[in-house]
Amino acid sequence: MELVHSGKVRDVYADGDDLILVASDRVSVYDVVLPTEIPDKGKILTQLSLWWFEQLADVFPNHVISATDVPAEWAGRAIRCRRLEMLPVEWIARGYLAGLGLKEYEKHGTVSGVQLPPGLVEGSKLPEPIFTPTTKATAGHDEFITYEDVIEQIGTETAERLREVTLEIYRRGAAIAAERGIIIADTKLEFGRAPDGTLMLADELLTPDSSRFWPANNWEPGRPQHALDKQFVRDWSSTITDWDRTPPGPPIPPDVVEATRARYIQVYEALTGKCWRS
Amino acid sequence: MAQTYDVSRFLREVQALLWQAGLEPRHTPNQPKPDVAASMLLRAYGITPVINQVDALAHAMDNPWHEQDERHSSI
Repeated sequence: MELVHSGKVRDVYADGDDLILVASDRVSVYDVVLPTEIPDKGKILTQLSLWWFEQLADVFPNHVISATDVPAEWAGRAIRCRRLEMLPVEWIARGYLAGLGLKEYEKHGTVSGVQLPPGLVEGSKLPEPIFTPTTKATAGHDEFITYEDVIEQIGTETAERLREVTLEIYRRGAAIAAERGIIIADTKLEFGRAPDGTLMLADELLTPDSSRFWPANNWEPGRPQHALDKQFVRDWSSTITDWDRTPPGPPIPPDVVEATRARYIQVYEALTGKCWRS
Repeated sequence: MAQTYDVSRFLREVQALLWQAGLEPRHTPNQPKPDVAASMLLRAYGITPVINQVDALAHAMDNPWHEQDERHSSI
């Protein structure tokens, strides 16, 4: 087993022909990993991603080989995955206006080349979900590209198919979450190709790290929305006036750790309908 | 077996080649984005553009998507 990448909050190991994705309990704010962990965060997000892969398995194949055939010390927070060659596009679906989408809309009335109606504000629900791809090459920033750019990069057939799959996964996921009081405002998917040419969903699926999760009962267009997962940490960190938001970050107080853990569990239980057992 | 090539690697190699030739490659507005153009060139040669999976995972892991989206929106 070889560590091939250690990320801020997750690590990747190579095991023969497979990769193992391991989620930690580390948490980052303003791009800085804080010295205090959130107990069970890695397990909760891994189990949530696995739950979504299972729920949406009929929509598209995915890269998961096993969640149990992993070393015992990572039990519950690791996924054994197939090796893929990744497509050079980030597949993003947006159902609400936020982030870079909001910025472009305010400037041009469009997002990623898609014309939107006038009068939308931060957090507005879009008339229908839109596909807003970005580049994926590792040099420089990811940037919006148009659907036509995606066609140029990977061909019409694959582009059309994966655009539809991206929107379908978002629609299905957002509908399931909406029934349970959670707004999935947008999400980013990754697709790769297995050695036999089969296209597959990769990385994680509909987690708070790859999507914006907002509490439905607190949604109010026209202002920034609360992040469902890390809001306690963000609110607390914004009160630390003597931290310049560069490493090392300050330790998180126990009450904020507990509240954040409880929020992750709340998201997991609300979505899956299962009781969390650590 | 399909021919594939990593787009990020290709971009780095083209940049290095241009620097060697005394040029100063830069990203210019209103032109095709370099990654899109690189993918088109590879496809024109019958080669499928791809991204290394570990690089892609590393990028995703170090840049949670919505944080990256927020960051870019403030640039």
